[in-house]
Amino acid sequence: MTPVTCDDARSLMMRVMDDDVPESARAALEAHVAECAECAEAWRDQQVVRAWLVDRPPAAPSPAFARRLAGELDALTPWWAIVDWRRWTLRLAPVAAVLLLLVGGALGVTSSSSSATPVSTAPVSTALWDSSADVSSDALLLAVLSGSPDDAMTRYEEKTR
Amino acid sequence: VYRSIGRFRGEALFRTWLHQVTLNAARSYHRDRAGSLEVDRPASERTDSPDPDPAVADPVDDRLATRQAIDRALGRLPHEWREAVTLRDVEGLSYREIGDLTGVPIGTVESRIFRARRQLRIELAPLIEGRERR
Repeated sequence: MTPVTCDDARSLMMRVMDDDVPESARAALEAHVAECAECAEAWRDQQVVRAWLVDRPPAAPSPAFARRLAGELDALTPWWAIVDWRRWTLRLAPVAAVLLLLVGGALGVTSSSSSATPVSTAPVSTALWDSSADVSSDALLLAVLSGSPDDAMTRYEEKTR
Repeated sequence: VYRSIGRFRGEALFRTWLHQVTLNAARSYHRDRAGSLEVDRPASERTDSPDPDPAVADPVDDRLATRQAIDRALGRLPHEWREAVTLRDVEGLSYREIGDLTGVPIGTVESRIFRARRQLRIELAPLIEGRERR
């Protein structure tokens, strides 16, 4: 094993503490500090101080820290950020969803009531001979199948005669 | 970070970038308040009270006193030493990362850390020896 100088030993101390040396270098350092009291003390001190710093108790933040930080962030926010479309679109999303549901519901009611009208009030039998009558195909089919098309066929024949 | 996030380009690890931002903020803070902080001063010129007695009974007080003693000792180091040893032993960065952040060679990083620990051993002697006596 090649003997190391005090300067070499101090460099090795840093690398050994970082686990960045082969085993032979670690052995060389240990051999040197076994012979050199000054380096032995330095080696001990390096390890002790590192352990104290690594285990340093965490600091509790000051109670005013969050308030100061929030204040600084507010101060950093430009006035035109109030019209930031991303903020508004995100915040208005629930309102838009409610409006959409309301409009959809209203359209659904109108649509269902308008489709029910021909069934109940349209002159179904008239539609058999009057092509301009506003009667749905379903209502017409129902009237024919029910066997009571009034005298639709008679009227049809009279009209086309 | 809030102010600088727009400049993060993803060219470095976020962790490295975060340390760089923090380091710049700390340096700026130190520069602005250099006249009012008791740092970088030799022990003979110090006017602050001595470190608290480490043999205190309350464990919460004990931890607080330990923390304050370490912070005070770190605060007395030259800022290049404090920066290097804090990034290594407190933040856990490698020598290479510290060199990249501070713009100095690895050998200089190692030397600063070595000297910082040696000085801290002197500064923290009452604390360390008080703990060893218990």
